[in-house]
Amino acid sequence: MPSVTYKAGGEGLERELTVEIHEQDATPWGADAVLRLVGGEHPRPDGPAKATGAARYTYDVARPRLAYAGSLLCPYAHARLKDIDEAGARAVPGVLDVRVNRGEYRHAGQAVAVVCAENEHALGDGLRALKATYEVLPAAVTVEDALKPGAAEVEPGKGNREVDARRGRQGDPGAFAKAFEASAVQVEAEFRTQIQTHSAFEPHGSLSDPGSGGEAVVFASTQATSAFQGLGRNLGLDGPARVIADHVGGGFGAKFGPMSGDQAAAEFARKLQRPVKYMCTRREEHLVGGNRPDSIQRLKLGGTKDGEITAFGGVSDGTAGNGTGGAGAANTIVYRLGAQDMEQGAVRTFTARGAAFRAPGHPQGSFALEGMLDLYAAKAGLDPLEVRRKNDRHPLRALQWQIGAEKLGWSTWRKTKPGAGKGPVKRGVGCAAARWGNPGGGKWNVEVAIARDASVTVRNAAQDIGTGTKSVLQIVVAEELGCDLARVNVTIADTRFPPGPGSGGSTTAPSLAPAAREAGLRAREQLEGLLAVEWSTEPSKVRLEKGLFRGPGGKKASFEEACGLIGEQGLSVTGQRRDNWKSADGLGETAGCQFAQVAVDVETGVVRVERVVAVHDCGRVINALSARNQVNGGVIQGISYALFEERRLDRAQGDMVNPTLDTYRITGMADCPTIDVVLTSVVSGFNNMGVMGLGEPATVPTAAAVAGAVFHATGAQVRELPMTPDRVLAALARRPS
Amino acid sequence: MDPQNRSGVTRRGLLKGAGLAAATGALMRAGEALAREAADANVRVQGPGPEKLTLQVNGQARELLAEPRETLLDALRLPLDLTGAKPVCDRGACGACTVWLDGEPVYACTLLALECEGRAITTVEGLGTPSSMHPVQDAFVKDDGMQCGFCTPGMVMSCAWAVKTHGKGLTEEQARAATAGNLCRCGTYPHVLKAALRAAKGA
Amino acid sequence: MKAFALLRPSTAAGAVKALAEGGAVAHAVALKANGIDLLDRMKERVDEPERVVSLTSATGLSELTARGDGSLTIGALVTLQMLADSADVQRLAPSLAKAAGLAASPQLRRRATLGGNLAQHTRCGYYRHLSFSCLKRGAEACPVRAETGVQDTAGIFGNSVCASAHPSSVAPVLGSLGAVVHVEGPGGVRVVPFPDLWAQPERGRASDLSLAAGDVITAIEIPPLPGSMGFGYEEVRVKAAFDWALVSAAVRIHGGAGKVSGGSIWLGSVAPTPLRAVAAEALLSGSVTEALAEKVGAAAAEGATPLAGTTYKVQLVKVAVKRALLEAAGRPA
Repeated sequence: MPSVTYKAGGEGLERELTVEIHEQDATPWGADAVLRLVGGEHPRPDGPAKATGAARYTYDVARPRLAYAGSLLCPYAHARLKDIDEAGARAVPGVLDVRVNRGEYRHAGQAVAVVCAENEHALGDGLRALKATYEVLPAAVTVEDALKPGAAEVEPGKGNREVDARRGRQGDPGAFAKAFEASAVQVEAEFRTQIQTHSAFEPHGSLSDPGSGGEAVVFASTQATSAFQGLGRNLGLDGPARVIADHVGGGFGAKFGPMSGDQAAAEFARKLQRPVKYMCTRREEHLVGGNRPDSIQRLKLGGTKDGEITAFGGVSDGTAGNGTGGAGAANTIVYRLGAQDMEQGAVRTFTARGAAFRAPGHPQGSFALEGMLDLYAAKAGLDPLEVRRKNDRHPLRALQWQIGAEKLGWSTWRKTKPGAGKGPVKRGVGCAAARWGNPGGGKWNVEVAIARDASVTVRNAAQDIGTGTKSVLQIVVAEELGCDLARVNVTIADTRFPPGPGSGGSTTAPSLAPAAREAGLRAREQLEGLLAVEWSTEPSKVRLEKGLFRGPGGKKASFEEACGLIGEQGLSVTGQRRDNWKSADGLGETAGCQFAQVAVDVETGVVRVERVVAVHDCGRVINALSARNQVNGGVIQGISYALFEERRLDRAQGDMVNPTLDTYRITGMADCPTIDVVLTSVVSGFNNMGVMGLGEPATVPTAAAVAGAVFHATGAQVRELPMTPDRVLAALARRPS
Repeated sequence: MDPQNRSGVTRRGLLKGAGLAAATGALMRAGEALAREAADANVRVQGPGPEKLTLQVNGQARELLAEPRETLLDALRLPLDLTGAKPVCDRGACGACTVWLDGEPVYACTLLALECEGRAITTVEGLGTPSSMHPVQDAFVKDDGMQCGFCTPGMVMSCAWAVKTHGKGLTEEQARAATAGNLCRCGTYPHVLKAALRAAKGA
Repeated sequence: MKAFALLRPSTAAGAVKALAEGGAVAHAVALKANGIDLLDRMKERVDEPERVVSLTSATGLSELTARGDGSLTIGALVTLQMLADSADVQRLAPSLAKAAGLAASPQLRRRATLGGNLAQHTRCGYYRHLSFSCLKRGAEACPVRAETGVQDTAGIFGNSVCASAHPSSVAPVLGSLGAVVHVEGPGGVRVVPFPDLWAQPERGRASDLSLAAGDVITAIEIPPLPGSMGFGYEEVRVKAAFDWALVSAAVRIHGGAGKVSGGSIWLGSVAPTPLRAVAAEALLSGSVTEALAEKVGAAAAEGATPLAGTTYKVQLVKVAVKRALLEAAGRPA
């Protein structure tokens, strides 16, 4: 394996790294690499299709003889079917088939029956005609109800609480107790976060087409085309189905595989030998389309008088529905916290399962941890930012705190005392931090094909859920080839192409871009070889400089001229993603921090976020335009989480009272503050370009920063999300006068 | 029923509710209403089955069949295969299905297709195509006013209306007001705003 | 949506006739203006009429007329956007223009009619989703009132039977302006004073209007409002735009800030129907100071019977009324 020494890092944290790389891999772009396209601002290649309505999403796909499927959803948390009029539904004109799922239903929204019909009207009529009645069984749908003695058990005999499988209990109880006892400043508090639904605008769904003689194909609104290939079985194929997801209307973590409706649609398609589409309704999307688990975090923090944290611990309980995965709150990973004892409980309830949601566990953990820091700072009479800086453990964040504080005017703002100023509207500022640590993985292949007319095609099975994956691939390949961006067509999200990753964990860019770079490099070498033959020289004497291929004796060729040497059949190469390099040297985590400025009407409890400064690192930035868009989006979703969103279930029945987009509130234009995004670019040292992911960390600290600002503005800490007027007024009423 | 008698009913109702109302004016208008009733009580009945319908969409007359329960959004997406307008909430609560009705942005999911006959409907496809974009669409691409893109067509329609209405002088406040009825789950608002203002400058 | 026949009369009288032919079952026929609310309910199958009578083809219902005496007649099909944009409304009844302009979203304001706004049903999530039981839809009890109910947007007055809240934000303004409603029905044309337009909730009754099934609202009339009056409107909502009011308050006062002699105060989103704050009105006299406004606000909240989840709305009533009064007196908070 060749060994390469280069300059990684950046932003004053440059360092020489020596890494062993695969012999096929590209030599790393160091922090000092001069790049033509990478790092610039580039419109995404599918922008025109999206802006003109030409982009076809799964929901938009039409097929001859298309039939429609949909589910009757159980309205109770726990019930058995008493009666259902299957024959009545079958008798409805246009209804093609009905499938009843008998048995016990363990959450509202569970599919009691699935109907397939000629059109959506007949589908609605068919579902209505089922007239199901239920025997309602005992249930508990909130963490607190599920933990009450005698509560109905989701898994009979097992109790409803388990220590979370992933985060479990961490730390040393004895050491924590001692350290907390000994600390000069002690704070204890309870924080609560709500259940947030993903609410992707294109709902979950798919279209299964048995092909009727031609090729069977599945169109899916998914974050992982590969995960839908298994529908081939439901469709009656011998092997995996071909899956296409040209455009995906959002995912945020909940679209990693088929739901029961997708499977039912494929089975109807097989039986009827016609294409069948299943798209979740908005109510269904809210009920079963995935959610971020809630949390009740009872925490203790001890520290010195001058701001050093010496002890942190407590218990967090959350519910991920009738499963237990992912209910924990990641509240221990950003700062040095001294002795720790943290237990993460997962509470089973009779509700639909949670799903990974943009930084699973982190926003809820951040809200509570940063809230504890704010409380500690207030009690010790310290500046909350100084407390954070003192206990920070990321070298880059020192710079980020400084950038953010200066941009916001932190030190001036903090001179304002809580509740100061005339009138009912009080202003304040807060801050919080983010980290992310997933450098990507997987041995994915990216294909680059070049035709004689100089058109370049990049192929991979991975999808673009809106994060800009197509743009990343286009930029990296064009950079290597020395051609215009417009020459590069990105054709992805089709499982006929080389396999690609699911879009999750903020890993798509670091998992795929290095393979695209290697493929671009391989293709460029082929062009250089063709030019070498043309110029009767050695390939090593041909090089790409400033957009032109140059050879001995002043010979030059443009990219287009070089492509003219390609044979009729064109040229095609693949590049592979190699294993992560071993010498990341402390740059393996990305860092970020956010500052928020809010206005709180202390008479009504209404909170408005006026400004956010977001400083983030994502390794090397590939496309600064779409990267900024990701950060803006993370902040705006974070504001939504902080102030608006909440799944509200009737506690007796377990069904959702606000399954619409007016009553399940999400941030709109009027609530979008001024946001300053600063990207610090630090080459991570994991792969041939140093790229890391960004989507998730950008939403982690927002709610915490907003809460800190509310605390500063009013002197009242709101310890429950979302910070709606009822909760803000209650916190104000508790405030010591 | 004897008109005199009906007038009496009216008078009693009116006197009971006289309050601040100008009694004589109200009486006169009541009389007018009666006259209207006598003159014209035509009722057009359509459905419940499919009805023939011609919609003026993007400057073209498009014929289709629609049941009364078909919304404009249903009609655009299915028979007409104009899938730019998106079904997201289907309850007038998100803006993803925004189209222009006689030049003004409305939610296609809140209109019955049959009641759109004779009205000028403009969809995102009617503004421009990928190879020949409307200036607002072009600005959305340049400023990356999109992520997943599912709300984008509706957002474009609201911004294009703002640019059309306010021209070069479009302010940020006006652009915000014009898009207040368009939600975006990805949070692209800052980029959308920038695009609207960029497009207005070139207007 | 269940299939239905669409009846499009060319006059209001035609609509009355079409409604009357709807048959014996009231639920089998529904009336709509532009239908925003009705379509919502029909999509949820909360309403499944077989015949829908639409006013959109009826003539003479879209006019907004300001007379020399300062009165306004607003056709039932005048949209909220027309109200917000009308120079006459801004001049004669600024609180109405303000409330209309704050409602919903631009797209909805262009379609939402004043008549439809008054006739809309509660946004209570229990009422609007078939999966729940609801007193308005025939259930014995209101599940919102149960300890296990979701109560955050529920009513805090008159909520002993049904805890719904009337969602209209322009309705309290019309109440405060002393509006009367022109109704055409099988028995002829009549004028209904605003307080009489409303019916208290009862089992199986979905509409909050006192009107009969065959009645059509044709216009809303606002009497002459002398220049010496002051108008205020305030609403509290979670989001800055495109959200429902948690509480709204409309105030009209006689005389200037220096010497008020009576007026009218109405509340929205706090009871099953728009609510007149009689006790608060009684305090409208003398100089409008911050202290008086506080007192009037407190009086408006008297008698509230909030549920556990809606105690905060009592405070919102006090603040909204206080602010609306200060605005009416020309000294916004």
